[in-house]
Amino acid sequence: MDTCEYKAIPQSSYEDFIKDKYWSKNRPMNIHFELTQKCNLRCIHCLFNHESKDELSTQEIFTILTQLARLGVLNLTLSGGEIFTRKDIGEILDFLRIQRFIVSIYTNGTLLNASFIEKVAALKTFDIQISVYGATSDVHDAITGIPGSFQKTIKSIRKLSDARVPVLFKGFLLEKNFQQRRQMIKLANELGVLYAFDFNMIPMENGDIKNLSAGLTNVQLEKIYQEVAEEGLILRNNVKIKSGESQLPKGGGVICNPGRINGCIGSNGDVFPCPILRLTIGNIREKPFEEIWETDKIDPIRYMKPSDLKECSDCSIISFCNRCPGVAYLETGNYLGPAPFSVCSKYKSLVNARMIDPS
Amino acid sequence: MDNENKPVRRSDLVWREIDGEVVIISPDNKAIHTLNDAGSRIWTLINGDSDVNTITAILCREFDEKEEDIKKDIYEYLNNLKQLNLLEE
Repeated sequence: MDTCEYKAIPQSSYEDFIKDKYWSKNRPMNIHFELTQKCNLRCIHCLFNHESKDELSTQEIFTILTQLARLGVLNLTLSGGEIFTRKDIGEILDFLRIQRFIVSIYTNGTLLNASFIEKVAALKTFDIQISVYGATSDVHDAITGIPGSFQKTIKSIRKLSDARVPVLFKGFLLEKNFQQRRQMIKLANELGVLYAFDFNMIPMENGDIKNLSAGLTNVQLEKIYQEVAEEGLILRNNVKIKSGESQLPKGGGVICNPGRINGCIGSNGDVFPCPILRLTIGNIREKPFEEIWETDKIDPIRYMKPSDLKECSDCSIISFCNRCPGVAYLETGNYLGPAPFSVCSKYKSLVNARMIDPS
Repeated sequence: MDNENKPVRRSDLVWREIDGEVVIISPDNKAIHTLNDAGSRIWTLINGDSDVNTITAILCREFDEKEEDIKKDIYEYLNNLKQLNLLEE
């Protein structure tokens, strides 16, 4: 018998570890699990229509989680809709204390009662990410469509913090709350939680782009870039930003190769390469996840390379565009093409305003 | 730790067997640890049901080594895991 050995992987070698154990074998490592599409809020920018048909049962969810653990999945994001609308969410959280993952929870925080907070704390989640759309009730509630939602959300953030649950204040910037961006940062600081702001809009799941009009205007987006560049406006403090590194989208035509180590399971059991690229590769009710994942149907996505982006590669702003194959697919049905409304128009506007330099 | 002690893994750790090797991840900081073949086998046995004598007997059947050498190795390994806070108190 060899001597028993224990080895800690230094952070600098994480990439090699992931490459060796997961990436090179297309082994799923990070799964985004949408437990429901139901939601108690009606946010103006949401990509779902809040109907949840053929939702997975409690037992089906337990079976899937067991399959995922056996396959080696480490990171599990529980998402919705709003997961706390599920009547069995307490049972699911209890199950995850036995079948363990590194868990992140996405929620609007409005339905978190004392029992749920206790269960989340006991689960020792990596974090719980709570969506916030303003620094005051009037602005936040106008976006969620539900009066009183702001107070409930903020109350939950305080209670979770008191229970020592790591909370991420997930701010989303839209046309209607743009003026409150600094107040929102101040609020997150007052609450004593980490924060991260996003402003990238995603068309609706059915391809409808009507929700995009709720996003930042081009002028507002230019202002954000200007403030980050000139004033050092910090849009996220949940990760260390190295000196000289931009906190804005990386750009570079982004080749993310979904479906290799990242995947998504929808509320009806459909499996997708990622939460945004809603290209169904199978359903968990018909085949175990492992068999679905083995498909070569999504190899063009898994092994996508810059030269595959025929139309985009000729574009003058490809080097700093933050294209997303999922957004392109939702808009046009072609994940290798551009996303004219969500992405192209925004980045072209930034170039025209000289907020980013195409040279 | 004596022969009748039943070591048990920390219940909040996330661990997986990948290609025959155990990978352990701490939920708070996502720190990753890996175990080699022999270490992985012991890890799967320290479930709170087996004492050191039982684990030694199992490994003696699986590996062609002297019992005393195996037991010594197990003790060193368990102490190492304990110091790294990977076992329940």
